Formats: sequence, C-alpha cells, structure tokens
Amino acid sequence: MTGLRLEALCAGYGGPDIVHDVSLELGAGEIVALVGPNGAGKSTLLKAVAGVARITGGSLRLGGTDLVALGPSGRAGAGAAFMPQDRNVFRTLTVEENLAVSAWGCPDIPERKAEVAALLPAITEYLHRTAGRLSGGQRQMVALAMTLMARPKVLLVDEPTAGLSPDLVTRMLDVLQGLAGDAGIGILLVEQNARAALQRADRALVLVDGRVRRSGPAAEIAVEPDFGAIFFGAAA
Amino acid sequence: MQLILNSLASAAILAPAAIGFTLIFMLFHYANFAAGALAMSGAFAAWSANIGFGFPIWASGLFAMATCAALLVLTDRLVFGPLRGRSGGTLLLVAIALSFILENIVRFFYGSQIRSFDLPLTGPTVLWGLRFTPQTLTVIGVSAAATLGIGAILAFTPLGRGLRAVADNATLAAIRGLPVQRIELAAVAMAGALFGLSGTLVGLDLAIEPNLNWALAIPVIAAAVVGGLGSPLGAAFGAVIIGLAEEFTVAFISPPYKGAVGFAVIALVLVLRPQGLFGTAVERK
Amino acid sequence: MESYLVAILTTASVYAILAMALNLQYGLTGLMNFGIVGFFGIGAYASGIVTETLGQPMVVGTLAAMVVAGVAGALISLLSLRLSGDFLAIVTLGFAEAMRLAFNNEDWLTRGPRGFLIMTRPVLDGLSREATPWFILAVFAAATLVTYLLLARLARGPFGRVLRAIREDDLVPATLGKNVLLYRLQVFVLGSAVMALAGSFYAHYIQTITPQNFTTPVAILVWMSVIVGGAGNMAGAVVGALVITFIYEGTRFLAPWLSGLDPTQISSLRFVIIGVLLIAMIRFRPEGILPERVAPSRRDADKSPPPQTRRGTT
Repeated sequence: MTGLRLEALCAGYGGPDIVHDVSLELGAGEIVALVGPNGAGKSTLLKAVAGVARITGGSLRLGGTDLVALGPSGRAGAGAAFMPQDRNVFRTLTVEENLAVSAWGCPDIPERKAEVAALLPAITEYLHRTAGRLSGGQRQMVALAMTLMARPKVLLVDEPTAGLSPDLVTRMLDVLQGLAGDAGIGILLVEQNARAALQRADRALVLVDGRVRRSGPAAEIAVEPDFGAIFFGAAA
Repeated sequence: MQLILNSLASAAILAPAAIGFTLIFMLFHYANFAAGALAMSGAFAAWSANIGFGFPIWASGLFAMATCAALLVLTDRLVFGPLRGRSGGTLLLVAIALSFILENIVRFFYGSQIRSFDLPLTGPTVLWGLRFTPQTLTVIGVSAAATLGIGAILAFTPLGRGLRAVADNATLAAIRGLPVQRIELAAVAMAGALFGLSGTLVGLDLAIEPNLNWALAIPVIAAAVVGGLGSPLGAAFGAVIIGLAEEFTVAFISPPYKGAVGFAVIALVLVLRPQGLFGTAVERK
Repeated sequence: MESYLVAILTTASVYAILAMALNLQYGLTGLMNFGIVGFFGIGAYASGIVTETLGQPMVVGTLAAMVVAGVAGALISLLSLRLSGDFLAIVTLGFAEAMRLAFNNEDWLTRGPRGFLIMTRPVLDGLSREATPWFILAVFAAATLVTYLLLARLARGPFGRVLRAIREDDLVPATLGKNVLLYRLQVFVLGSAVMALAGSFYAHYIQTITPQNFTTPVAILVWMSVIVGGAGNMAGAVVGALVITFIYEGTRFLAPWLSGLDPTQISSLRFVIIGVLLIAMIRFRPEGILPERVAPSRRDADKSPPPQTRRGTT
C-alpha cells in the first residue's frame, strides 16, 4: 500500500470533534471527491490530514509513514501536499519565489521549476509578478504549482475552484485530472460543485455532519436518488 | 553639510537596530520595545570585551553581536514564545517590562557611570570644512555595510526568501514544508546581532551608560515606524530621516528636546500615514 | 514603623487613584495609555503652579490640574483618533516623554531638575505634628473612596457596558449607533483628569516635585497594579495598587540582608523583581487577583489572527 490511508479518523480544532470515524484509502493516480453540504466537515478532514486541524483519534498513514505524529511541515515532507482554499500563496513574494520556497531545502529547485512549468505551462507567463497582484485564476494555479514543487504523492485540494468563472473551473478540474492521470498523484478533492467533481473523480465520499453517509464509485453516487436531498435537506 | 554628516552618524547608529526591530515585527507582529535595552546591553558587552578581556574593538563588536543574539533568542524563548497570540498591546507591555529588567540588571553589575571604549585618542580631522573623527566614518561605513548585507540576505538567499514567506503567512509556510521555527530562530538571532551592532556603534560614537536604553528605544522604533514596519530597507531610510530630524532639532530648536523628536515623528507618521512612508502597509483593527 | 505604614498607605492611595484611571482606559475600554506619567506630572505641576506661583488654595489647584490634564487628554485622544493597541501606546509614551523633557527644560515655569517647592498642604491649621500624617492619609483615602464610588458606578452602568463593547470590538457599538470616537474621547478626558487629581494630591504631599518623579518606573507600577488587580475590575485596581505598593516599598526592608550591595544595586534589584513579577503575572494569571465579573473577556486570549501586513495596493 503506497497511498494515503485513513482509519476511523476523528478531528477538530480543540473543541468538540467535527469529523468522526472517517476511513478512506487513496491510491496513486486516483481522485477521491469529498462531497457534502456546507459545514459537513470536508475542509476540516483535509486540514486534519494536512496537520492544520487536530487529530483526536484513529490512524493516518501515507505509504509506510505514520503521519499523526508529524506537524504540517513534516507531513508536507512525507509527500502529502495541502492546497488551502484561500491565503494559499505568499502575497508579498514573486511567483518564482513562491515556487522556490515551496521546495525548501531541495538542491534541485531549477529542475523542479521546469517540471512544474511543464505540468502547468500557464504559470510561466507571470513568474516575475508579485503573487498578491495576480487574478483569482492565476493565484489558484500558482498555489497548485507550489504544492507540486514538493513532488507530492498525494494532493489535498480544498475547493480549488471557489470564486472562479465557469471556464476557469473547467480548466482547473482538467488540470487536476491531468495530474492524477499523467503524474500519478493521488488527489483528495473537496469541491463545492459536487456534480463537476463527481464527473472527474474515481470514487467519492459523502460527508454529512462529520460522518461518512455514503461512499463508493463516483458514478454511482452521482445517480443516487437522494443525492439532492442530502445537500439541500441537510443544508437547510 | 556638517549637519548632514552628523545626521548620517546618528542614522548609522539607529539603522541596524531599526532593521532588527522591523524583522521581529514582520515575523511576530509586536513592537519589541526592548530593542533599546538590548542595544544598550550590547554596548556593555562590547565594553567588557574591550576593556575587561582586552579584545580589539572589532572583536568586541562581534562579541556584542553574539551576546545580543543569544540574549534575544533567550528572551524570545522564555518570555515572548509562551505569549504568542496575545494582543500586540500586551506584548508591548511585556517588552517594556523586559527593557526595564535588562536596564536594571546592567545597572546592578556596572553601576550608572558613563564608560567608553579604549580607543586611541584622535582629534577630529577637518576636510572641505567638515569636522569628523575616524570613528564617525567607521560607524557610517560599518552600518551601511550591515544594512546592505541584510538587504541582500533577505532579497537573494533561500533563508531570506523563507523568512519573508514566514513573515507573510506562517501557517502557509508550515503547510508548504518550511521549517518555520528554525527560520524564526535564525531571524531572531539575526535581529539580536543587529541590536548588538547598534550597541557597539553607539559606544564608538557616544558614551556607554544604562540610560542608553531609553535614549535608543524611542528613535529606533521611530525609524522602524517611519520605514513602514515591513521593510528592512525602509527602516534604514527611516533611520536617516530620524537622524536628520534629531540634528535639525539640536541645531535650530533646542538640544534638550532631541529626545522628543522620535516621538513627534512617530505621532506624525502614525496619524498622517498609518502605513508608514515606505512600501508595505500595516493593517490595524 | 507606624509612621512608615502611614506613608506607604498614603502613597498607595495615590497609586490606587492612578490605577483606577488606567483601569477605566485600559481595563474597561482597552485603550493602551502609556502616557500615565505625563498626565500625572501635568496634574502635579499645574496644581503646584496654581497654588504657589498664583497663590490660590489647593482646591483651585486640584481643579485647575484636572482641567489642564483633561484638555491634554482630549488633544492626545484627537491626535490618535484612529490608532489602537500598541501604536496608541507608543504615541502616549511619546507624550509622557515630551512632558518630562518640558518639566526638565522649561525652568521659568517648573524650576527644572532643581525641583518645584510646594508649601500648600491638605491640612487644617492647628493640627499637631503627630496628627498631620494621619489627617493627610484620611484626606487621600477619602479621595480614593470617592473616585472608586464614581468610577465603579460608571463601570457598572450603561456607559461601562458601551466601553466594554468598544474593548471587545470597535464595530459592534458603531453598528448600535454609538459613536465610538466620542466615547474614546470621554474616557481619555475623564481618565486624564483623574490621573491629574492623583498628581495634584501627590505634589502637595511630597512638596518637592522634580521631573524624576514622573518617569517610566511610575507608569510600570501603575500598569502592574491594574494587571495584578485584574483589568476591568475597579476594586481590583485598588487592591492591585495596595499589593504593588507594599511589594515595592516592602523590598526596601531587604536592604539589611543585602549589606554587600550599594544603594544603586538595591534599587536595581527591586526594579528587576517588579519587572519579573509583571511578566510572570501576564504569563500565568492574566486575569489578575480579582477577575472582571462580566462575560469572559476575549481581549487577551483572543484567537483572532494577528494583524496582517500587506502591500499598499491590494
């Protein structure tokens, strides 16, 4: 087993748990979509895996490494790269500097930059701009490129399309699908646009009130009769 | 011209400490009022090395920088570290208390009399109508070199890049795999060394006494505030402005009020341009 | 020993009044005023000038002191309208330093470092030598009590509630239609006037004032009183001032055991102890001896992110 493995994971922010008993596996090149109503704990689950929220029970492993004992920086080093929803670039640094710091301590930064530029050619157009001055779509691309600088095994992506125009949403999801297919990166995707996410994902987890309501192949979940009810019923 | 040379000498003393203060503010968002007390402690460390151990003056300066770096790292661990996340006002209060403690520790061991380095007595040279001593030139040169050096480290080295990233967004820095605590430690040590350098320079140019704490803290903070609290080079420019303001006050208004210049400038800048004169803005609620 | 106790209690009541004024500004409203000694000093000098130079009775001196300091407070408040937190602290600190320099250098008015002599005292004619210190203490204690009753009443009432709301969040009272800046102005003026009251009493008690009486150590002791007593609690400020005065004055009695040290060293040691206590208090018991009894304050323990730096244009 080389992928990410969660078993009965519970997590929160120091108060009562927000995520309860979540188990899931994510293999190389796989996309697993986390869907559910607002406030279901999807982002908290991602943050718990990334080391930003606190794990209160269960186990979390990546390949042979136990991640629970590591801090956010250690988990990034182990190969789990988290792309937060907002504040995900260093606004005062240039795009190039953003990429360079994201491969901290690596001797081969130029090679990595070239690698990332090949995967995301768009960013080469604004390498020397200050990240705080980029448009929303450009910023999300840079944030994604930063995660790739660490050559991650799995990507934890939190609502990468929030606030983007419809064609940029499509492009971002295409890029993610490409990363899974071509680079063999496992992707755990939290996405507000559930239908679009389920189209791209291999498997899906429906999270309601911090618990797994359903899990299975994405195509099956997408045609589930109470799919709409889960969202609109529980969210209301 | 003489006025400008004097201003530059004042600025040269303030600049390293103002940069150190700015570094701390960039990373932790609090005003370390103990900057003056640390520089003053540095002056005494250099004096001890110079007079007590007979070190040459450059080695005494390095000793002062190392002492202040250690001192700032220690106080950061002991005092400020456990209080991270408290309001800026609380931390300022703690910093003032700390400066008070340091000043009185120095007073306890060294007493209140004025001291100076063991330097060859040289009369002032007069060149093109300007009166200056070799020390003045050394102070300005060393300070300028240190300022440019720090600027280069921040702009071009991986450590400088990492430091700016941590200052920008420490949470994201940890997520991206940066060793945030090690970078913070390096920056704190760097700031401490800069305080020590200011202390040594003040000892070269003026006298060494515990009251330097107060006399330095105010203009150093003023220079950093003028510089915008987000850019070390801005802090250096701020130091020049404070130096000019101080010398003009001495020359045209009244020498005793030199001590109020820093505050007047801080008040003016904060009221007119809360983001400082250079570069980055500081958002306050 | 008895006379010593009377002296300590008299000093403690001056600190208690100062601490209550700071508690109004910082404890209730969250304004970081580090310019305490400026207002304290203005009160002392203004009162001295009115009674000695102009020959008025002490009541007039005290009232004049409160008016002058109130005006100064209003000016500082208007100057620092948009500042809060540590920036306000630095500006007020600057004001105090500027005042100290003025006391030191404006010889014609303050007699500078030689000291300003004040003959007027808060005593009745015909009191015996023994009774005088007790009488002064009684006057000071009464002033402390009156200040306490007024400020505690203010803190409990609707005015105090608005101040706490300002402390917790500038925006809430603004949305309720309360003019935050006007409230800040009132708090500054009132607090400054109360500090000047303390200054006036102090001046007529010690009778010789020099700029050295109005330096940072005094501000630190007052801040310590508020923090130790419990920010936001008026009774706490009084208790804090008593505790701090006793610790500070009490450390004098250490002198016989420290015979190897000269007076400068002993004084330094006392300040080091006070400073360490202050930091330890903030670290381990930030709510003080008598915590505020309203809903738990999030002023200090707040989890709100630190202020962010950003580029000039977004």
